[in-house]
Amino acid sequence: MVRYVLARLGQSILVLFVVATVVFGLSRASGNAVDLFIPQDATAETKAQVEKNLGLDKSIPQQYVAYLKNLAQGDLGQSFAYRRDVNGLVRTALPNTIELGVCAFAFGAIFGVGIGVLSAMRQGSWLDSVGKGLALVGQSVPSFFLGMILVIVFAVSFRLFPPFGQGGFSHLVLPAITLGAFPLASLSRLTRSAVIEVLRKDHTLFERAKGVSGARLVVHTLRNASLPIVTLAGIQLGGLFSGAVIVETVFAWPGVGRLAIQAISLRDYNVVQGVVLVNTAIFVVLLFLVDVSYGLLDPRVRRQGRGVATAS
Amino acid sequence: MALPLQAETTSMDAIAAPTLVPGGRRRRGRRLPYFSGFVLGMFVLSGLFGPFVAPYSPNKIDLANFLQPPVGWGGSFKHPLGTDELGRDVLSRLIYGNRIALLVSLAVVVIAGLFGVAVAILAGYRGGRLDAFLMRTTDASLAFPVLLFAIVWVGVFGPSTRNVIVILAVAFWPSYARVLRSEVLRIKTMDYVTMTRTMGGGGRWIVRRHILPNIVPTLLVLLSLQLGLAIVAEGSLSFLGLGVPAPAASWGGMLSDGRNHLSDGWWLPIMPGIALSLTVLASNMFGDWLRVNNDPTTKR
Amino acid sequence: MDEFDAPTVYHHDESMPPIEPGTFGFAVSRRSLLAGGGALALSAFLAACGSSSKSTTPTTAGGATTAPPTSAANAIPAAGSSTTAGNATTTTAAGRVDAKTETIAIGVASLQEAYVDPQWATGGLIFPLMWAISDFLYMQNQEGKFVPTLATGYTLSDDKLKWTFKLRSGVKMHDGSTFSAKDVKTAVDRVVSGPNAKDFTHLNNFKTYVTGANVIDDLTVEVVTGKPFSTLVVDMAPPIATDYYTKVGDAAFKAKPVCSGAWKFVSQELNANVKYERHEDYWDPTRKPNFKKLVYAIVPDESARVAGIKTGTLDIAYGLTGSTADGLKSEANVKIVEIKETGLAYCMMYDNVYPDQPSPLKDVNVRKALLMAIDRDAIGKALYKGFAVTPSSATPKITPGYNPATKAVPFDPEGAKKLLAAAGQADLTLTLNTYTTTTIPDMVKLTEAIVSYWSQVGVKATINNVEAATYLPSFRNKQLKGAAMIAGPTFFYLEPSRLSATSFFWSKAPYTPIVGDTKLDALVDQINVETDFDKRTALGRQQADYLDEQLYGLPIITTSSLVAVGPNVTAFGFIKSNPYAGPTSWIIAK
Repeated sequence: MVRYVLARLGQSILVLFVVATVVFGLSRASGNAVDLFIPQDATAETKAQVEKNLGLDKSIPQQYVAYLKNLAQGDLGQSFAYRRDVNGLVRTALPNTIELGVCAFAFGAIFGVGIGVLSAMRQGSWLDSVGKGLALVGQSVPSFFLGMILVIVFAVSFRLFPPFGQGGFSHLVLPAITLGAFPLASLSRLTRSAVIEVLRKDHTLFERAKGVSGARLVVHTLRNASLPIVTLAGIQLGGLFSGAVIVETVFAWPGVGRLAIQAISLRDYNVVQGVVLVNTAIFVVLLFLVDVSYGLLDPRVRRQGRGVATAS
Repeated sequence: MALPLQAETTSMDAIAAPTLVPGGRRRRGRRLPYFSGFVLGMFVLSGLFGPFVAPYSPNKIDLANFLQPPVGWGGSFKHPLGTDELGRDVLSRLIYGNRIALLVSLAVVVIAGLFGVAVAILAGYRGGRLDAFLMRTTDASLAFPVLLFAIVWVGVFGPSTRNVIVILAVAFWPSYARVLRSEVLRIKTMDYVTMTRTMGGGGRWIVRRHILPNIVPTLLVLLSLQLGLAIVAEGSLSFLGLGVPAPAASWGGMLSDGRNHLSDGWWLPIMPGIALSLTVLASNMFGDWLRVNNDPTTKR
Repeated sequence: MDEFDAPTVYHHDESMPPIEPGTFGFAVSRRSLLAGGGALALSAFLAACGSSSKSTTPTTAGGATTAPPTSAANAIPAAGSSTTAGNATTTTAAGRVDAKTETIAIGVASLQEAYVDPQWATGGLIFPLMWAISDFLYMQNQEGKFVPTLATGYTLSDDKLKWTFKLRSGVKMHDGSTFSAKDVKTAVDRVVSGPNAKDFTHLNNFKTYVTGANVIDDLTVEVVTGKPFSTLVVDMAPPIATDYYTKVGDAAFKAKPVCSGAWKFVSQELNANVKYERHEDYWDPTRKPNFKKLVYAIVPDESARVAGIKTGTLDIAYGLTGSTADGLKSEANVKIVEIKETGLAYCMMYDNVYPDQPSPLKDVNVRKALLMAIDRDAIGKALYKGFAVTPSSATPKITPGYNPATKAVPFDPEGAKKLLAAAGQADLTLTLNTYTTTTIPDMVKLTEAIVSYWSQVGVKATINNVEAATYLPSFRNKQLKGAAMIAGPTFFYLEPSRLSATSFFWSKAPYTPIVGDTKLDALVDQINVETDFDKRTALGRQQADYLDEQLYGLPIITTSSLVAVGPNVTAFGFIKSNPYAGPTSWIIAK
């Protein structure tokens, strides 16, 4: 197990390195930032001075080496536009995104799994139809549109929740629902089919025959069906942080997604690189946790040593 | 949805795994998918032949007739679905938007599909180190934050239909690779394939003769589901200004553009919203139907 | 911050009509605003000073002897839903009565703030932030004129190198200290000679002129320049609280500045909001806010700002499109304020920047035909819902030298066809480059409309829609072909030379496309050295007429900035043609 963890750690670092390189290359290809950072009537000296201050006077390979060096020390560099270190900017924005992402995920996971289990248990009933319908709609409506409709209905017409911004729990409701709608849909679909599959298996039939209560049956079933659900959930959670860009824009939520959008339009290289890297790191960690959780959930995998791809 | 790009992967895994579908569902699964088939058929037909049926050019501006409501809300049959703030015919724009949606979604699923199939076969059939390498690469691609990648990519190369396709193809291929790889693994170990190999069948021959045809059903399911995802994703990109750029009429663009007209032209966001959601719905339902009918257990 | 001194961000994506990055010269630095309006004011000063520059008696400009007037010339009336500017004077000289409303929240699409420190605030929308926290020696009134504020007057030495300001007495800073000459000196020294001076690259222009400041007595300060600096008065740094600054140091001051403005800084959350509380000891009772807290909320999505104003989450929402504003008119509690003529969309006949390459756009008749082909009134009515007008001239109305006698080129497709045919360009083909900007809402749709009108006279134009961050540098660096759309914030053309120098016509403007018209160049050269305001205006008139004759840039449409004002605000005033979310001096809460 230790060897496995170490190997995964090495791979993760490699992934981060590749992503860092790709983003660095892309940012440099996006045009010379200096033009956006000097007044039009700036003299050549001012331009040169600014270039020097930004570290853009060096050659690209030199910039790359400097960037990697700083990165190795956990330093994401300085923001051109905000004039603060990127670490600080990300540190301020990231908790907001995590707050939103985790709430959206909790919403999606609880309702998704719940609806999935209910529809699986009551196949063909109206409950099942409603669940399936919800799932299909959740996957068919773009989140910015869903968010706008939710605001019009629940914020403007019924005045139940604030239309945007950050604050208490009530501020979280609409953005979390908007962001959580997609995971809800896919999780409910997956849960439904996974539970149905388990329900059909002999041991479940046997338990039912034994007269095990409904609730306990659900618990047993869920545990047995949990593998693909956890995998999907992990990936969904990672995807949420990236997908939050849209919801953060609609709901004026000051997270890393907003930071990234602002940064790219300013060609604020270091911020772009920092945000992408941090996001990737989160995702890598989540994938890793998902892998580890396999072992905890399923003894067969524990013996096998590694999961994801071979699990199904 | 939170840009569904990679998120589907593992629910796709479930596609490959035979799912037992109990009685009631089985009968319904066998029923032909009239609704989704019809909508998807319309989607393809109108995408292909739209220009012949569209009443106007999508970019024909008629400022004298701006913001005409649809028929039934005070509009005339001249513009059945109304006009936008430049007096452009909404129906015509929807039909041309259909073309773009078809082009983008097909291109994305085909490119991502081809790449994914190649990786899946290489990884699944060859196995060993190559497999490990390819699968780690797939994981790495999954870890790449797609929307952020899109932001950077468009920042560099500007918004265009081609770039939308590139971004979505990059986002979608890992799903194919992962799902199809497990299919390849399953087929590889089937008795008749093993037998062919012991009888001296070459690798290429096996792949062409046995593996490819056998992953086609799963591939089709994936394709139909991802077709819908691609359309929704284009909408999300449009909202961030990263989608198909104006003046081209894309559904996502029309939808995000129309948001500010809820008070004076509700049909501007609603019409493309309906077209988009209906198509995606149909593609999802069709995918579900394919999955159920593709299921060896239900066919038996 | 020693090793890192970032420059000003000249950003394009502001909520309200911003200054295009660099395209309009001075873009977004403090200098820009002040220089724009400043030249105007300066001319007035110079006229007023005249021969009296030796005198030590404080001289005031334009007869304005008091603080900026509060009579709200541009304010909306307290009652009724009229959308036109009224004359409601809701205050008296005695001051304002405290409102029931404690907090006013202003929604803007972005603030692009680096720091709220008035000397460090760089980026797109810094004016709201600067105006809230700091008073300047001279500030603009609602007519856009600079009037003495923390100063009561100034004199200029004979060699034009020493400016002596008389300062207002009885002004309290946010930390309770009394405003005096040393606070001016601290602000100047900080930029010019302080230990962190080299961080202020965005004030490089100021630093090339100003060498330091001397305290003469508590209420007299002398600012010394190395060479004559015509816009010093309006470029002067806002005074900062000396004791506090010395105590906490530069870095801490940046994060929590202490100045003299009507609003004290409370907190700043990047990409979310900036919060202020009222400065209870604010010196000017006529401008002291009648509400306790002010919040600038950054709400990037327009429909969210609309939801905010409908639900009362926001009291004021900036940056609305015509459609939204039109839709909000029916809301009982919401008033729409139209700040007229804040942006002018030009269709630049860009090919003229390449002196050696032939282009059909070099023919003035072709350019005229292209303008005649466009029904600009119809565009204003449909696309902008009437919140836009057809400009009669390429020179904005507020620019000195604007010629009121000039008539807009009428919509005449037949005439356009004839002109094109006569020029041998009946089947002209060209590229029209465009981008998305907040100065002119719906720029791309506007471009589509233009192309559509052109197609009706046989001109085939292809739209090239470029991302803004790429577009503006390529516009500046001469990388476009054909014609190119560009947005001009009229607020920055308060001075005739700005129009040429910053908008692409003058060949000596650095980084700008060069038309290379020798006659125009000579004219701009003359304007730039002319210090007499009336003469400058006369030259400006010549320039305006010449630009309308040559049509290097077709004036397409003049747009308004639209603001929604909620029920908690009884009066809302603004600076003429100023699209910015501030100053808040003329906002009265209920």
